[in-house]
Amino acid sequence: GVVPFVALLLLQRRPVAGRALLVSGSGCPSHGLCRSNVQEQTRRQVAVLNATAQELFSLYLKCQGEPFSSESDKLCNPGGIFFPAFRVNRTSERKEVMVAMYKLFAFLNASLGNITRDQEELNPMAKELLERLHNTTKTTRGLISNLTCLLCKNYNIFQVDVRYGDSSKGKSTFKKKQQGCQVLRKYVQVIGQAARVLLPHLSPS
Amino acid sequence: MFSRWNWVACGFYLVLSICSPDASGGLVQSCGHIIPESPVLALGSNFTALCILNESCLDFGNIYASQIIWKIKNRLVPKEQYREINRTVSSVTFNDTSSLATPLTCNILADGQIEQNIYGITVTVGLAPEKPKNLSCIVHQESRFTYPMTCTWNPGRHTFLDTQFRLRYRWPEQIFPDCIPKDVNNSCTIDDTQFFVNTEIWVEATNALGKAESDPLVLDPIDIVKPLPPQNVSVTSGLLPTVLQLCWENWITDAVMTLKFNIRYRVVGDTNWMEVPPEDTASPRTSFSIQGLRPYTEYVFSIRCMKEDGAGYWSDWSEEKTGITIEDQPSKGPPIWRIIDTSQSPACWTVHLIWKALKPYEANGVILQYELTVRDKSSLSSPVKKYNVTNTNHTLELREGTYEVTLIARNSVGPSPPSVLLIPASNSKAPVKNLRTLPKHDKLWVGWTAPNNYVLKYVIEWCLMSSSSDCIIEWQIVLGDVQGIDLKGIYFKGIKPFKCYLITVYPLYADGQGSGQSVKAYLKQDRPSKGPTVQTKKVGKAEAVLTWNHLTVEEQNGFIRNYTILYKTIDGNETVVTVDPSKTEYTLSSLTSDTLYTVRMMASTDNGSRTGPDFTFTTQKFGKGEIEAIVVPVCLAFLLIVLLGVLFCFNKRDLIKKHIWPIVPDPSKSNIAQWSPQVPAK
Repeated sequence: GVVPFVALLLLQRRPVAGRALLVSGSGCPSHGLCRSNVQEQTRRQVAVLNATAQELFSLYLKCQGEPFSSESDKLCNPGGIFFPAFRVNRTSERKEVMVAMYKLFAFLNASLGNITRDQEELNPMAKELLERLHNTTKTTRGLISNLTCLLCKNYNIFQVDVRYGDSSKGKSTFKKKQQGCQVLRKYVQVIGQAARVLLPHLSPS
Repeated sequence: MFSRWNWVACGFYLVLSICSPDASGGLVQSCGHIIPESPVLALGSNFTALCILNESCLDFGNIYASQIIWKIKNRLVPKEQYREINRTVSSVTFNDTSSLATPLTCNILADGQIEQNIYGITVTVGLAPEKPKNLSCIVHQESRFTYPMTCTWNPGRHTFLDTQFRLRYRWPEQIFPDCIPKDVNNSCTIDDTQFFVNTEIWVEATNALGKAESDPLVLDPIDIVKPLPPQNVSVTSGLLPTVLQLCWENWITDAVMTLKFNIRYRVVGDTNWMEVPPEDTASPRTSFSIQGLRPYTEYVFSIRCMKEDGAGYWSDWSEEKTGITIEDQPSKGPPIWRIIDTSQSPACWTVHLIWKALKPYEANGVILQYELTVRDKSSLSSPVKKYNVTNTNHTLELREGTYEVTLIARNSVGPSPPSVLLIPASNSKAPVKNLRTLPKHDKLWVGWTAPNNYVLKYVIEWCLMSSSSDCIIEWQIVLGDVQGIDLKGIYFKGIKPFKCYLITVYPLYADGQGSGQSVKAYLKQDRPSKGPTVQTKKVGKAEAVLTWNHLTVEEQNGFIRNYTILYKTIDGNETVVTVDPSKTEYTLSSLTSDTLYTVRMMASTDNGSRTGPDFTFTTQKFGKGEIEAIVVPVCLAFLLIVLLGVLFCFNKRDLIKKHIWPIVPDPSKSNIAQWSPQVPAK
């Protein structure tokens, strides 16, 4: 599990497509941790992210100060960044939904890592923001783990092409803050959509 | 630069340092060694060490493996355990390492029987770690976003070795850094817990002798959470006097975990908690209305929560908060009674009306005033008198007659139902029968038989009897279907032992009142605190009238069942006489005259007796009239004799005269006178 993440992080130096190796060996994890409750767990994780996304974004804006706290509509337009498309709906095939989810959260996991790193440097005293970023990142990692289980166990999918955004390393303070707010603003939109799409697919039968 | 002599001195010194013995007194270090070096051995296992002599040592002459002796902590190992492998190698074997100590040394007995140490090793004996057991974990919520997970386990037996424990955990495709316990070997806390992923957790124990792993625990940490209790609990009173509303804040969002609750409450000052039925609070919420409470009563509330489906642990109880219900009308009228004083005149009564304040659960608020209404039923034209009173008694001066007294208590919401007391002109109705008492531990039970079925209520009066003060009446009203109660005092804080109480029961009817039946009672009796003081009222020759005063009620300590008189002479037997307790006099008879008696009295209750002081008296020598009976007859006889004597003498006066004073002839008439006519007559 560590190896693919390291590989992914290295690949973030430029927006390139990466091939996420979902499992470390051939076949699905055989130690019984991929259980039947994984679907419900995934749904709860998406619900948690959806419930906390707006608060995270609002707190992020507040902590960046001006002009972000007052002109977020102009500055945080996600049109200028890459964000994985999430073009599935409730009627889409479950497998398609799972793959789209995986791509989305793999991207988010990497992006949140960037944002957290930048904020630790730019706003080290913003304890609540850092805590929320940390919790969101943890939940995202857990979600990736569960999606890996679902894709592997239900659909024998071991590899998914993932595309990541630009790294913020080396950019100016303003650019770092802006990239962060663009990602989070898009995240708020997409997570709500994901929660709506996911519900029928992962509701307890 | 160094001179030639310096170089020689250095070289000589170098040779000497190689050849000279070390600080321990043994041969040079390079003479031999032991294998294995510093072994760690399992307790109870067998162990063989080899002491290998270097070839260079043999050149010192006559040093062979056969001369090697082994020592443990300077105690010689028996030679039976040695084995000479070859000329330069000796082994020592221990079948049970339990007896092995450290250090183990290889020594040689050189020429001249001088023991020299060749080499030494430290030996460590211990046990491989046991499989850690009973692994369990709990996630404590410490703040809104902080959920550390603490796992504990049984580390197993003491290994006598340095044993490292690690808590390991993983997801399906990710292994996390181990949790290393600090200062303990049976628990570890993981600061960063992630919910909604099945996590495998196990413990690994490792020491120099091996490794052991516990059985793995597979769980989703969301199912082992002990949440923080609900925060910011507040209590507000509503529109109804029996309802209070609780509000609180949950520090876990519904997205993470939906909660169920337990709510408990008690009256302030009470120790018993009541609980809202769990099924009423088994769903997510942030408020609840508690119903069925008492009006104007202060309650304490506390809440706890856990995961709605029952997985995990209950939180601690929240901080306690209090709230008070609003007032309501009093639920019943105060019990009312009267004491009638007719001492001034039978036709003019001083009526003391007394009533008891309502208990808080009856008053339902602060009683602002009592409203009395007195109606003269003997005279319908008399106006109704009304009185507003703030204390619990009122005195009226009334003419003898029949009155109806109504009392209500009023608080800020409204009046209580009325209490009605009929004061008849005379208590002519049937009294209770068979009034009796029975002590029961610290309570005095009073029972009676109902006169008939139409009694509405009974009033029980009781007071502590005292010889020095008035009897302060306490009273209680019970319903007409009750025929016995335990007396519970207010003024006296309960019924006291060894005290006499006068208890009177009155039956109250709709149209009158029965006369009071009284009985005296003790909760517990004791022997009297002093005995009666006896003295004599009158003492005779063979009898003595004794008298005494009754003991005061404070001195009695119980019902006096009898008096006992004990009397005796100095050297005689004591005689005992029992006297009825109502008497204050008794006559002792058949006493010996002119004898000193000592008498004392004893008063007896059911629980013992007490004797009074001794009193002595002496019986008279003569009985009453005895002296007169002797003296009078004697005097009379004497008198009679005198009279008779006088009579006799009178009768024989001539004789007596003749003898007592014979007639002496007159010398003038004697013959001689005739002879001398010259002598003048004198």
